[in-house]
Amino acid sequence: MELAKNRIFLAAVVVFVVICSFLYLARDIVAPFLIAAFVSHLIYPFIATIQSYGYKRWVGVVILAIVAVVVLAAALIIFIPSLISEFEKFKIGVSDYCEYFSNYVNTTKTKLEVTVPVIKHYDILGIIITKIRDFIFAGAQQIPAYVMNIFSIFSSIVLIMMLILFMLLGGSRNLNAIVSFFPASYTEAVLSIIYEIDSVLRRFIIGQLIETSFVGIMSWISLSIIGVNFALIIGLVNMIPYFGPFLGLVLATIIGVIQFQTFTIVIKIVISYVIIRLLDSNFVQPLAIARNLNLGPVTMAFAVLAGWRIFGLLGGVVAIPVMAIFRTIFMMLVQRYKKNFC
Amino acid sequence: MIKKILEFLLIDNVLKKDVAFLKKITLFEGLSDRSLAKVSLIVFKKIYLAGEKIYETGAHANIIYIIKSGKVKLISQNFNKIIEHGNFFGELSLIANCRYNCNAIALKESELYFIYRTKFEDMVESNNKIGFAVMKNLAFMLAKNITISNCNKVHMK
Repeated sequence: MELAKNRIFLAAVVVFVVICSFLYLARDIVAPFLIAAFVSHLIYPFIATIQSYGYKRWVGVVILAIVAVVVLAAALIIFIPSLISEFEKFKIGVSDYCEYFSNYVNTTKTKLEVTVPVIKHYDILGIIITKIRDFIFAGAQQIPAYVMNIFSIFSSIVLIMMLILFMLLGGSRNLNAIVSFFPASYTEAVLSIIYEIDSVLRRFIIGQLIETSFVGIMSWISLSIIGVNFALIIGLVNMIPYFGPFLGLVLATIIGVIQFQTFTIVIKIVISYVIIRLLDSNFVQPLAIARNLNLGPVTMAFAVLAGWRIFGLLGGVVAIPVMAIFRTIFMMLVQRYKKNFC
Repeated sequence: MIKKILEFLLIDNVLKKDVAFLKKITLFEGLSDRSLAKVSLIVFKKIYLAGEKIYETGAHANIIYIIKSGKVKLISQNFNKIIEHGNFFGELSLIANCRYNCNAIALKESELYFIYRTKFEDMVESNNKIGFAVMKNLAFMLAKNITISNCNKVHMK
C-alpha cells in the first residue's frame, strides 16, 4: 500500500516536472492562453448569474460580450481624448524637461568642478554623463522593437478574445474532457486540484483588480488635485501589478519637481501616496482579504523576481498565482498523506 | 410557435431538470429555483458502473455525492447501508476537513452529482442565503440522527 502511494507520488512529481518543462519551452506561446484563462475566470461568475435565470450559457456569453464592447467603447470615448492630450503635452513637455535637465546638469557640473578641481582634472563628470547618455540612447534604440511588440500584442488580443470565447462556451465540457483523460479512480483527486486552482485564481484576479483599480483611480484624482501634469498616465502606471505604485511615485516626483521647480511638491505627493496607502490598507484590503492567497511577503517577492527572470514581464505578473497554485497542490498532497480521521 | 423556438434556443432544459431534481433533495429544502440553479451550476456529473468503487475509507472527504439514479452501498466495520436515487452521502465534507469513514461502491449503474466543498464555499461567499439554508438543513438532519441513535423520541418538527 505504502509502496503504491510512493509510486503515485513519484509519478505525480514526474508529470509535474514534465508539464513545467513543457511550459518553459513553450513560454512564447503560453502567454495568450494564460491571459485568456485569467480573463475567462474573471468573467465566468457574470455568465453563471445569467445562467441561473435558466438561460443557456451562450446567451450569457453574448450578453457579456455586448456589455464588454459597450463599456470598452464608452471608456475609449471618455478616456482616449484626455489620454491623447496628455501624451501630446508629454511629447512637448519631454523636450522642455530634457532642456531643463541638461542646463541643470551643466550648471551643477561647473559648480562642482570649481569646488573640487580634481573632478575637472580627470573629467569624472564627463565620463559619468557620457555613460548615462549612452545608456539612454541604448534604451531609445530599443523603442522600434517595443513598438513592434505592441503590434504583436494587438494581434495577440484577437487570439486571446477567441480563446476566451471558446473557454467560456466550453464550460463544463472542458472540465469533463480533462477529467475523462484520467482513470475513473482519480476523478476526485483531479477535480480537487482543478477546483482548488480555480478558486485560487479567481480570488487572486478579483483581489488584484480591486486593489489596482483603487490605487490607480485614487492616485489619478489626488495628483489632479495637487496639479501634477500627466496625472492620468501616472494613474495608469500605478495600476501595473506590484511595482506600479512605486514607479508611479517616482514618476510623479520627477514630473512634479521639474514642473513646480520646488521640493514642497514632493511632500505633497508623498502625503497623497501615504493617504492612498492608508485608505487601501484600511478599507480596500479588508474587502480583498477574503481573496488572500496566504503567501508571505518574502515568498511573493521571490516569486515575482524569479518569474520575471525566467519568463519576463508576464512571468512577473503571473508568478504570484502560480506560486499559490503550487502551494495549494503541495498542501493537498501533504493532506492526502496525513493519517487523521474525523 | 415563435415562443417554442425561442425557448428551445434560449432556455437551458438540462438546468431546468437539474433544478427540479435538486428541489426534491432534503439538503436543499427551502431554496428558491434561482438558488437551486446556482447550486446545479457547480455540480459535476459522473456515471459509475455496477461494482465500481466511489471512494474508500480514509480518502480525503471533499465532495458531497447526490444519487441522481442507481444504488450505492456504504460499508464499514460498524455499518452497512444501501442508498438510492434522491439521497446523498458524504455530507460532512461540507462542514469539516475530514476523511471518509466507510467505503462507497455503486451497486448498479449510478449517476452521481458531485458538489465539491471549495466550489460550494466559493458560491456561499457571494450567496449567504444558500449557505445558511443548506447548513440549517444539514444541522437539522444531523440532530435528527443523533436523536434517533440516542433513542430519545424528541419531536423535531
